[in-house]
Amino acid sequence: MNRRAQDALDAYTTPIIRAIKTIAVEQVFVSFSPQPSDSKVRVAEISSPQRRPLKLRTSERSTRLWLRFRVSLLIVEQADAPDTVGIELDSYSFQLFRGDGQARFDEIVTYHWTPNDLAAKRSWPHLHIGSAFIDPAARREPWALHKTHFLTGPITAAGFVRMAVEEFGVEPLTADWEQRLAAEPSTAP
Amino acid sequence: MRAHNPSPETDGELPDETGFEPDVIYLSPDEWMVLFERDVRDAFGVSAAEFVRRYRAGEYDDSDPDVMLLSVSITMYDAILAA
Repeated sequence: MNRRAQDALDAYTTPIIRAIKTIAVEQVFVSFSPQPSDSKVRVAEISSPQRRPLKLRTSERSTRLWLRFRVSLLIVEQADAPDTVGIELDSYSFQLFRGDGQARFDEIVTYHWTPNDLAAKRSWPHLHIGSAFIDPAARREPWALHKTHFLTGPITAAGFVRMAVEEFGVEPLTADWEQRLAAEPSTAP
Repeated sequence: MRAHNPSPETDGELPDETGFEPDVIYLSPDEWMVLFERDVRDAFGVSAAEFVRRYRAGEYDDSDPDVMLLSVSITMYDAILAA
């Protein structure tokens, strides 16, 4: 990958990594598909390590929260300018869990968008409420509410992190977290 | 796996409980594939190829958190196989 391509990719990946690292100590995984001989497109993926959620610190010590995320990007060589590339969002999933860190992880919310996925039931960005927080005995809410796709706009990693901090009491690891998140570009993800 | 820290000036700011850790681990395609296979098998008890087939056939509940996470990786899976 040439320098311009790397710079273009960094402009997308660095904000994601910096936002996640605002609340998560552990490493982030980054991977690239091989350069295909018959295609101008490569794939980049940024994720939390495997399926294992990342532990988050919370202001309430009794509350244990966890994060998983995965973002897929397309690196597209421009046909008329081989030295330049475009970076396009392929899909994302940002997930917040509550759990004991061992056997139990209850999904609180997932922000999900797979615009290029022909098998996806919804092509627009949406969120799912975690099923563990829907009471089957409740009189008003259907117990299948977690299957509902609630429309959202495109979500950024910085926006997701801000939500986790401000709504769920996740403790940022740096004092300047607000400036860090505010400095991130608003382009998805 | 290659470790890299794209912003070394921030390390000292992190109240790291586990000691120094780099921000980023770069996975080769082979390493990525091994981990994806493991993730899929842990979550669904099938191979990655079978997971992709079942996903595309609409056989999974798309509100399952593992489906929502691992389906993001299908593009990478396809790209690695095609290379």
